[in-house]
Amino acid sequence: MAAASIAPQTATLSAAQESTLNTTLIRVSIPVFVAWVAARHPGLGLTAAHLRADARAIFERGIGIIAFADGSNLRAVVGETFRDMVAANPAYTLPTVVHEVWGHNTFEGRGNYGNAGAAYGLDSYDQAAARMPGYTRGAAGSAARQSEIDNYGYQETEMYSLMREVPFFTPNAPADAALDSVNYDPGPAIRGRMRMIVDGYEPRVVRDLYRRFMADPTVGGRAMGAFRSAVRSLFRARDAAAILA
Amino acid sequence: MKRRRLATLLTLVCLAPTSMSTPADSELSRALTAIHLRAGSPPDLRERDRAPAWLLQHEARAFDEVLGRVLAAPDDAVLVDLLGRYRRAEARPALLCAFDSARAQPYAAVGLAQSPDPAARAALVRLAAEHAEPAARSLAAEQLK
Repeated sequence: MAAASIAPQTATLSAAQESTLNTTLIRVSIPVFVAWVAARHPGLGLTAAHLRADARAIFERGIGIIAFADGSNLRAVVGETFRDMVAANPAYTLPTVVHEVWGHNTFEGRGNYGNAGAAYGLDSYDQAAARMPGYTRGAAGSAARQSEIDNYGYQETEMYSLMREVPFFTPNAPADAALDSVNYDPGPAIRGRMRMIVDGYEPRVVRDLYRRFMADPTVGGRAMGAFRSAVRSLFRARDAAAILA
Repeated sequence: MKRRRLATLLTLVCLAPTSMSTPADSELSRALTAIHLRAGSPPDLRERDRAPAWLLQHEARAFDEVLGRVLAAPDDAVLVDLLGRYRRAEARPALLCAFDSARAQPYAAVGLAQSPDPAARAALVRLAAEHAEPAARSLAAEQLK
């Protein structure tokens, strides 16, 4: 894809709208969500401290963003879409909150994205690239290095974070169809990530990733089911059987 | 009476298929998935930000698909925003449908305002004067400034 980027927003958010949104988030949406999670998923241990209202920050990141990780804190920043989804059903927002609070932070460790040892794919790429005549690794923080990290270090951490979403996914009720573009099944997204890994590497990488996930107590049951389903849909039966052996 | 006519017109235009199949074009499919990433951490955003640029650059491959999806799901604010950025006259009916979605309304209004089609501006004038919701009327009026 082209590297050019365009402004993430064409609409505007006034100071008054921002203030109203933040007040609603702090007084209503976050308490409602936390109480719902405590009742339905007490094992998560989610509290209000895991969430921070910042309507402006979410707005500026783009349309339909539910949450983003608050630096290297175990905390998700939330805004308008979170408010809308909680009002419809708090269950709709939980997968993305889990993704942002316990997804990437658990997979590679907080603040560790792009570092050596954080992602099998990036480590493999770096070892291979170092043997390529004429290759020089871009300086840390450079656009060239960031591109390598995103291409080869991102897919598996994103796949893991999507797998963490799976047990918490609740499909929209028909009355909430307006939220279809933000509350969607993470299963196909897992398949999409795997497709990118298949395009960039050989099937053995998926097999090794499967073994890594099998040894991980934080993903199991339905999450592993989504992984297996993605393997079966992307590979021939014989190859899929070998990967999942 | 005028408002009833406007509502009837929008209802007729917005009757559309409700499900879309995955496009055979895998790059297009990938971009349409990426543009909907809902988690906003930096790597997610970098991937998400590349998608609209690709979709705009590959207009010939993407426009009909985006238009069809907005007609099928006018609440999809992400695609409504993208559709407006194409600045195509054919987008006007879909943007008008999206204007009646609370989630997509601000982006539909911007799309209509950005359109080179005089009929899109005329529609915005009509919405500013005749829409049943005062907030929608003022949003439309704001785009006419």
